[in-house]
Amino acid sequence: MHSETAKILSRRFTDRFMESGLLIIAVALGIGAASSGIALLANTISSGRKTLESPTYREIVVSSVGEADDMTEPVSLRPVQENAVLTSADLDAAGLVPAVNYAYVQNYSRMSFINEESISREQAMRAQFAAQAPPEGDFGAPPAGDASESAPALEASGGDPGAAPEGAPGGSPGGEEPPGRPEQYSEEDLAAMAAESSILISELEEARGYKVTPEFFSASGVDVAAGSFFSQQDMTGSSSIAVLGHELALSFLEEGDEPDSLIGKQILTREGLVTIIGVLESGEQDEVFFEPYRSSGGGDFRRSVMNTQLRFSVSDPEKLDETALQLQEWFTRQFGEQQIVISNPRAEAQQLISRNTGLALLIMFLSLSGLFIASVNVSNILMSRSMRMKKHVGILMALGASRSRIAKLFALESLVITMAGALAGMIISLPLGNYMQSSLGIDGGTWAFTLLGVLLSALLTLSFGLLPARQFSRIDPALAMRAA
Amino acid sequence: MIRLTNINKEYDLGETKVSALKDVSLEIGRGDYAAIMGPSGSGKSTLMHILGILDTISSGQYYLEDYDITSLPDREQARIRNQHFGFIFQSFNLFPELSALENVMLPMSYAGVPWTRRKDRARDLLAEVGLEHRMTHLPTMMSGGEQQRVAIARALSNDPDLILADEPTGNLPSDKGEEIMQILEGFNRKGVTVVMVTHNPAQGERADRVIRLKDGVLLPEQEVVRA
Repeated sequence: MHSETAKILSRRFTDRFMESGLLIIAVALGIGAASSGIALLANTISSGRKTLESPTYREIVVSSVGEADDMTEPVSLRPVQENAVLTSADLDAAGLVPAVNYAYVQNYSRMSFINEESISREQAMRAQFAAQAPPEGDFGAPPAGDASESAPALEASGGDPGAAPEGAPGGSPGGEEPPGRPEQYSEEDLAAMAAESSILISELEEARGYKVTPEFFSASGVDVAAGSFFSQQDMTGSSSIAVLGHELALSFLEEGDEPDSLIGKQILTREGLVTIIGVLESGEQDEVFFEPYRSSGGGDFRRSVMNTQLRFSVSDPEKLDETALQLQEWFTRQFGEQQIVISNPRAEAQQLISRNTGLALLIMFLSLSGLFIASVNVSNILMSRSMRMKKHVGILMALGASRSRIAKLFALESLVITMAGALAGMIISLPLGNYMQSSLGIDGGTWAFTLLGVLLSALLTLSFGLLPARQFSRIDPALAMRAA
Repeated sequence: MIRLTNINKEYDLGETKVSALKDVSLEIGRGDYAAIMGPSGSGKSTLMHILGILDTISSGQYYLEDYDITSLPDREQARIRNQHFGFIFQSFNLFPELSALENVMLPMSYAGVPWTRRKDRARDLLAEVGLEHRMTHLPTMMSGGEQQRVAIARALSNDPDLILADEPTGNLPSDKGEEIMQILEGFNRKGVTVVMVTHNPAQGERADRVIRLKDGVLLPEQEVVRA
């Protein structure tokens, strides 16, 4: 653009600062809202697709009790009485359903660590308990539930060091008791154990995890960075073993140490010493641990925890509904109606994704409507501005400006307004888009979609903004010069 | 230099057509000083616009230096307007956003003249019309006579073959109008062809030729005999 012509444009722009500013604000609001809407829809679809790619959504979950909070996936459960007792034999139902390629148990568990902090806390609680207790002889046993929740070590029996108290959360099913544990750990015990290079003292209070059967690892597609998963043989033993998620494993490592160095070492927990046999590659299961889900001697999972979930993994998601029906038929025959909840997390997730997509589509439609109205108005104002300049356009043409040069002049004005509006719109769009996504519970949105939304919205606005340029690209100079 | 043959110009007003120029044939020679005269609505401005390739013709031929430029593409027409013609308007038509200097530089920018050269040339031209002290002033800070002098400097910026002046003194008091006439005549004496539309018979008589129009028809031309 030749400098004198550009000066005319820029000085007209600044001379009408208020009008130009309002135009930019209108464009910014329109682009901000529309790009947020576009980004929301794109992120909703993308996030939904990603979610459904997870192995978790290729499973049918068979549950013995209907507590929605016990589920790891968004499933709708009807409350049922826990009359049915799922057994390891029920995993054999997989054999009757051709589409199932893995069947496993996955139940919540928790590992409470013993360290200086936990010992101090426990000692303080004991002191408080002693102060409140009635004189000896009147001492009554505290209610079992209270005692097990508040100070599990107080209830510990047996004398071998390094084993867990019974009744602790996630304790060994079937009441099998690992050998040897003290009534309580003292700071001296802790120091003695810490001195042993094979025993690890965690700085954490506790860790979440799962009790699983071996096929869990195959179904979830995770791999070990060090050591191994547990095998079918480990399911019948009594030794306490665990596979750690990557982040959890790192919490036991000194800087520079490799995960391999943890294999064979033991973690001191309230349940006793737990031997690390594997460390997972970094992935979705980073902060959790896995331990074998062991049935009682008879092979059932009876009453070990309140809820037992059997999971049947299907290779082809298209066959999930069919598989659910087949499993329903089998479990109804085994336990009767209303005793077992069979859920299809993928169907639930698809319903949620579909609802969110619909909402995002509506929001995008409304925001694009807003952008359309803003763009039409901006175009009208730009047209009005350019009509006021019509006579000067005729003069410019008499002085030697071609129609295409005139069109470029107005296109440049529209471009400047659109770009300034797009920049401001992007500043609006990023927090607005994030807020809308979080309100719909969509994780993992990317800025790329926001940028794409800004680009598409800016192109729409620019297409309207170019109308004056288009009109002036056909103007007759003599006609323009006759304008008032 | 310019030869128009059998030019007709009609304006389409929906169901009716208005004929603005009827079978006009005209030659403008290099160095001519011609006045176009006639009553309002006679087609003076239309003829002026056609001479300046600002308007299309309905039929006929336009030759510039024996080249038929009747239906050149827009870009080529713009180049001819820029490099061969200079325009002066009754209401000056300077750009209020630009200084006197920048207004004169503007046509040179379309000809691709580098910034420093066009600035020097604009300074020289403004000095030539007596405005060396007003170069950085905006048009709104100048009198009508000064603005028209800037317009003359702008018209001359690309060293044109022909100056087309549409009632150049129409908005000026008589003393300022006389100054403008003298400047134009001075450039004509230096060889610049001047074609001027005027209502003023006295100004018309100062030209070498008077082209008279009535109802779109060119009347027989009368040689101006100077005393």
